[in-house]
Amino acid sequence: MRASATIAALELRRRLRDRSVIIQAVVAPIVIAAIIGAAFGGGFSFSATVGIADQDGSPLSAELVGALVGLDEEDVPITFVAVDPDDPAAAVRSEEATAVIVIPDGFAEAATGGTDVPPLAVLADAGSPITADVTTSVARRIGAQVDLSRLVAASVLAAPVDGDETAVSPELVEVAVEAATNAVAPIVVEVTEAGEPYDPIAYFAPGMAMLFLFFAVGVSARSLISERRDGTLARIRAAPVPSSSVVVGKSGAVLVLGMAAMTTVWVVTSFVFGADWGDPVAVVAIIGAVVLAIAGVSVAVTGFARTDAQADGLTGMVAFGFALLGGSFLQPGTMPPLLAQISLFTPNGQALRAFTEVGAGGGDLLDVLPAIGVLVAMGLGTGLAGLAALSRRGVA
Amino acid sequence: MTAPPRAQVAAAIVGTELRRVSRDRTGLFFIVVLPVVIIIVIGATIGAAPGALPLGVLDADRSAASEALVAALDADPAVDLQRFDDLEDLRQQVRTATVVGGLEIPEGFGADLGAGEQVELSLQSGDPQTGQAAAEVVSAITDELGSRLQAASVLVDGLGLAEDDAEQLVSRTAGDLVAVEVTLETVGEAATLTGENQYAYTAPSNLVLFVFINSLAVGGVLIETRRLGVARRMMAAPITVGTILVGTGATRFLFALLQSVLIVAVGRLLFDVRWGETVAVAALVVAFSLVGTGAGLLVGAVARNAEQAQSIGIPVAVALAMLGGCMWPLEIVPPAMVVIGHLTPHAWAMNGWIALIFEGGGLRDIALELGVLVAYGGALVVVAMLVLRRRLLAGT
Repeated sequence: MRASATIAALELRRRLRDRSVIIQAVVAPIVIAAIIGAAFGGGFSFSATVGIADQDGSPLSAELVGALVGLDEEDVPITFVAVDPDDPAAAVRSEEATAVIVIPDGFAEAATGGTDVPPLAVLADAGSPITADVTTSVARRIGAQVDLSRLVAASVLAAPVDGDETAVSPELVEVAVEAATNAVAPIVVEVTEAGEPYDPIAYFAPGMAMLFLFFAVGVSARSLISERRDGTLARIRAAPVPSSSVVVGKSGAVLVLGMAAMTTVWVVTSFVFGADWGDPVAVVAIIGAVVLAIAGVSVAVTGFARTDAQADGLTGMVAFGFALLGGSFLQPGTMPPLLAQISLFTPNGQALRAFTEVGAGGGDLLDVLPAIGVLVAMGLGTGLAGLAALSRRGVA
Repeated sequence: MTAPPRAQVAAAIVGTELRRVSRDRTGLFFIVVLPVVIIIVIGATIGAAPGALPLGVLDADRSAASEALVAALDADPAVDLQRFDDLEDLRQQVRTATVVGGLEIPEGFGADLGAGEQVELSLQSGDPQTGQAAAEVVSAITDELGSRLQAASVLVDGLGLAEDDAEQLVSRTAGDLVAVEVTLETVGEAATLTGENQYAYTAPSNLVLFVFINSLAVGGVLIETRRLGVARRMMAAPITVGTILVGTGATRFLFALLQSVLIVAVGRLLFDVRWGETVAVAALVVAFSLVGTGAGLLVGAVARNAEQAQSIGIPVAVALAMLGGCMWPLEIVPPAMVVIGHLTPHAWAMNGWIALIFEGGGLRDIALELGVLVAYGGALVVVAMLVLRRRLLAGT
């Protein structure tokens, strides 16, 4: 036991003396997550300027334009402006507005006269499909409001009032239409806050930390091979130290190093960038489980590689392969269904799903226990397989 | 003995180094397999319904009315609808911004609507502005669905009709009424980077990423050349330092060109990417290969060991790629990040590719980009050569 502790301490000292492990396992994930945070930290916030082109020139259309342009509420994503009705497309081309709603000539007359109404046209910048969709919805709501008035007017005219249809006076229609204009919609949509948006840093920092941890941890696992080559392993063997001590000591060092690195990334991104990873108990548990899984995979890689250089290459492949399939490079939740399934076979995918559940879904330790179980199983399974391979070759 | 001609020596150096690189089979994974896999994975994730608002819906009512609303949302081209069964799931997706809004249809929606009561739908959103935009889109649909109910209630209140009579009257009248139509017309050309081919942005961005990252990796070979004493043995031969430098540089340059040609070919053949005018494509490939060459030589000249080159090189390459728009288009990041991004050669290379692939530009349109890249590459090569020359002469 003491021998293992000594070997672990020695390994840790050696690794920390080489500053590249700190750069790789701590600085790199923080810097990269910060870049991602700076790129997406503002979050997606929709806003657009929409023009209204009044080709109708009627009191009704003027009222409509006035009502929209005069809108001045908080959190309204659209600013309406009146644009030149003679050339509405020019307003889009000159970027005065991203989209324009055109109220066509004869709109009001047809709307109040009971004939078919000419269509409302939306002209939108081809490069802004979402603004086009939202503007179309605004136009549809204007159309729906007009339709409601038309429907009420037509219904009133068709209503059998005391059996005498001529009894319907224009005043009655007007009153009814007025009532329709002021009527509240039967279905209203209320926007509520879903809570703080999930900080991309809280997702990408662990994602990147895991990617680079494969490299940092891999170096320790590979040191078994290089120590055998350099003869230090044989010298340790000559001492009254059980051969398992070396493996136990190195594994211990790797776990401590990995835990420390990822915890530092967590603490720094939380306090410096204010990224909320979620319930701390769950976060620490996931970190422990995923470090174990990465250490296990690294031992397996070392076990199956014949040379130092091969282990190096394999580590890179595994690190990037798992990061890619696990979704470390993708925005949370954007994985296509097939990839989402595949990702669960990687430690990165399991851990990222757990981190998202805790950080964005407000989950706690209980919610991520299954994922932690899978990660621990991955770590033990690959680790034992790797040790078996190493011992066959007399390294461990 | 006369010294062999310079060109012959340089060619021999190139041949030897290329053989050393190609013998490393794990290296081929990074050069051939990884770029293609990344292009496929990233391309697949950005292919989904561009230009529609991703919206989540949870139908807790499951009545005819709620199902009609869900069906109408699903049929709307402005909405990319995802259904949820669990409110926590929906909230998590809203917080990770996978959906811009989470619409909850409460229990009793259909019954309340039938009873003439106003019903409120709550739309969860992480950002109030975007939530309002999504609410506008949903309201266009609910207004249309609710207009008959609304008209009937106006008739009941205004004319004193019985509820059933009013509803019958409205649906009779509505049958004859042609609703106001909304037409959508786009102005200009879509400059969106996903466009018709989702690989059209991913292929060039990975070309830039991998030419750079693998140039750094080949830079690691240079460290071996120095460490193993290959460089010193070359110096012992009747060859000038200049010849060795030319040979070493030419190897890296050739290598970057091969990597570029591979991705251009794969992009064209597998993903149908139209790279643009041949001469301009060649010029851009050559210019960025020069940048890769310079960066690789510099790492090879400065780094003390291969491990250091890897542990610092990979994070730096990933960070530069992110800043330069290889992981996401720079058009979606804040202005300050666009400025910072253009400190990297990557951003200039991406500008060039965007001009060639999306804007149909030619050699003249990317003159500025080519100039910046050549200046960048040239400066890197010169600095690296100077450092390398000193190291070779000093024998370190």
